[in-house]
Amino acid sequence: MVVLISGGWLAVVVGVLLGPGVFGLVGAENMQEQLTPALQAAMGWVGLMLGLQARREVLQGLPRWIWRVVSLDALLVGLVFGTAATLGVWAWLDRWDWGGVWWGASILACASAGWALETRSLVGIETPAKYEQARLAVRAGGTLSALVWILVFGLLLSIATRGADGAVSIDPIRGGLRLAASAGGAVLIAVIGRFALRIAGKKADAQLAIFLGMVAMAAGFAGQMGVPALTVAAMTGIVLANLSEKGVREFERFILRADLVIATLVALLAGILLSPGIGVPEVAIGCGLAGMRLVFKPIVLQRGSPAEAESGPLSIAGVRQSPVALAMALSALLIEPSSYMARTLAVIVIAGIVCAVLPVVLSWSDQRTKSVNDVEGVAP
Amino acid sequence: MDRRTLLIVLAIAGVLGLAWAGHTWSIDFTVADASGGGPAELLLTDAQGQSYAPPRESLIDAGANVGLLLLGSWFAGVLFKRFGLPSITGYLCFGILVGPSLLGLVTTESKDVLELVNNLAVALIALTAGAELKFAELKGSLRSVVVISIGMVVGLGAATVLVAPLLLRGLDGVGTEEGMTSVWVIGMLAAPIIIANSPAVILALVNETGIKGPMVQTALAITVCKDLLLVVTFAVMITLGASMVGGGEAIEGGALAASLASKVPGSIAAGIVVGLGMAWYLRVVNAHLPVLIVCACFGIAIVSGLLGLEALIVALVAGVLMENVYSERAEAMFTEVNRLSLPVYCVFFSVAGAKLDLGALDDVAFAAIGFIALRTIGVWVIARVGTAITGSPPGVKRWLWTAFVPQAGVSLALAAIIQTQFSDQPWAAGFYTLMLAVIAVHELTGPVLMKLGIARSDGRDDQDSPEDAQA
Repeated sequence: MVVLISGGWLAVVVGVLLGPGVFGLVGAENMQEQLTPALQAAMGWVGLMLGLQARREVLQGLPRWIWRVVSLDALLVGLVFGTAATLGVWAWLDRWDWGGVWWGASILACASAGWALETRSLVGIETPAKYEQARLAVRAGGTLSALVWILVFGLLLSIATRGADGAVSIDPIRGGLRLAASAGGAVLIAVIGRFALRIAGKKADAQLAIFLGMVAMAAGFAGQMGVPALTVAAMTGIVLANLSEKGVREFERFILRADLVIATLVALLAGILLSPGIGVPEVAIGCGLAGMRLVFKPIVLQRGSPAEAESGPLSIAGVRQSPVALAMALSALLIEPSSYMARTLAVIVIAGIVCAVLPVVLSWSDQRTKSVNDVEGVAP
Repeated sequence: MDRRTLLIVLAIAGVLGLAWAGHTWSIDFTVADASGGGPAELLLTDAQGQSYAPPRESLIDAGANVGLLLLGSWFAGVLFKRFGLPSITGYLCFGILVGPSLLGLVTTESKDVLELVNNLAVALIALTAGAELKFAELKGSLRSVVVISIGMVVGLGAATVLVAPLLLRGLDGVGTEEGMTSVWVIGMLAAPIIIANSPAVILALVNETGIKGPMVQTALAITVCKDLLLVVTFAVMITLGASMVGGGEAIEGGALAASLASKVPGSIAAGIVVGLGMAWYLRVVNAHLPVLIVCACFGIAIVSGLLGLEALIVALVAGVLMENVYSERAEAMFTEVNRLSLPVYCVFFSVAGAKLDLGALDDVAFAAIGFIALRTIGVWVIARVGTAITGSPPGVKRWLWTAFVPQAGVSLALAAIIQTQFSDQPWAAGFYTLMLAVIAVHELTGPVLMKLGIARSDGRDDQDSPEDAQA
């Protein structure tokens, strides 16, 4: 068996080693100064990359059942994970604090959306050709679900706003206005970026300058508005992707070259920033979320996908947590750099690691029972 | 004004409007100090009852400022290019526009955060400058490089020290307490700033015009050689100055020698180590080159600061080593460096522009005009004499001086170090303003002049690079 555990988790471990909990190369006292620019850039980059995937033509070309998968996942996240996260956070805080429960539950629930897009590790060498639809369900369904929940995440975190005195209050009007202003900013950045790309043509250095400018501006404006950088950058990407086809595809290809590097950076930052003081409650909530994923996510993929995709190792692909979950927790940490947010990040990391190990174990046992014919069907 | 120019102006207005909106509507977590003093940092309490400091305003603004400088200055560069001016003049002007002197969108506090990006830029520019020094191509002009470099440092330095008493009479705090001592000290401290020119401007113009002939090669080699001499000169001047007026850290002669002996060879040794490390990475890994470059440049900036080395020399040496010893392996790396250079130039030059305080120029106008005239005439004379003695080609002989007019980051950094080191002196603020005024004029006029010089000397008088024409 080839055990492929996503490299991101190794970067998380490296981050933990570098962070204040172990070797302390990045000290706790000046962590904000050192890491905020990198965090903003990473969040902006991830958001923009994901947003650019939402091109109208691509979405229209997807089979209808993908939307069924996304809707089922949305229901699952909203109802089951939302309720469980609220109860879990309430118990964790040991008191009812509207702002605290709202934020914690929103982050944990939204982080449960979608799944990792990795499909190879579940079948050892390569996904069998006959599981092509299952692979589409994992990849397209996972991307769309993450994108939808990034927007919901922004909305939920904006509703509970922290005033200048530090008190968190549920204020849909004020939060809505901030989110609307951010959306306006995202549209403006996208329009300006589109025009800049038209001038830049195929010049790679100019494309890079424009892209970095858009990432920084979207993430920075989000920070100023108190809205997650991930959400505003994703909005910018969505608008940019749908303004016009010409030139944007080239730009998208250009920035996608860095996806592995950015994913590693996000994981590294998560490792550095997660709270070193993890106790039983964090582990319990993390394992609880992982357990729920194990139970419910395969159902979403099986019920949503057509019959051919129902069986096989990829049906458990949904168990593995999406890397976007880390980005969501980091985005929240940018707005509120508190110990509570660092612990919430730790919960997500624990859930993610458990979820990364589970499918490997399960696909291993699945392979042991596989017939010889299945093995012969492995695609080149 | 044609439609595209109008749209570019509108895009700049849009970027500025967004930055203004973010700046105005940003959540401010600072509250007035209970004692009625300045703003105090607020400690908030999270849902678990733990206190934490909310993000500082300058940190919140940092991302938006980087975006503003990148997008805005890029558009400004495009706009200036449409009028036949160098893009970097556009970046500088945009920096001045958004800096504390005019719109105030990039504040003094957020400039500290931008220093991080600036340090990366300095290392990347030095790495590129080092890579442009190809020993094989420089063999023919080695004599002129040595003669002009020494001529600039000795001739221009001496002229600055001698003329300083004449020009500095009206400057606030000069000669009031220590007689003529402070005038000579200021002259000594001004000399390295007057001598320095900008390797970044040369590289940016090469990038923009696509012209890289003998004049550019010679100018770059002289600039790099001059930078090495400047590090030593500056350390000597600042130490002597401190011991003469008692400002900053007065260092004993022996300690000065020890410091110099460790700084320059130490920086060269560190540069060799970095170069070898990069060569090893390219041989063994050879992937994710932008990551290698960014990490190397940040590493150079941070480690040099910690070890008291000169980041500029470290990166220069690494670049020279890569280009001349491991040129085959380094080719792909320098292609990536070129790709990264445009965003770096946008931020670097716009930050340089934002640092200029236009409000204080009136007070130092006389002295500034004097130093500008001295520098321009001095550069022209030394370059003409040096090229004549060494028998340089006619184009180089006539136009080389234009490459030494532009100033930017190196000069600004030297001025800032002097201001910090001598902050207890009554003339420190006035001196800083004066130097900024001199640098500002050379920053804005230098690139225009040099672009003309490159076109006349090294090639064609074109506005667009081959890439532009293709696009």
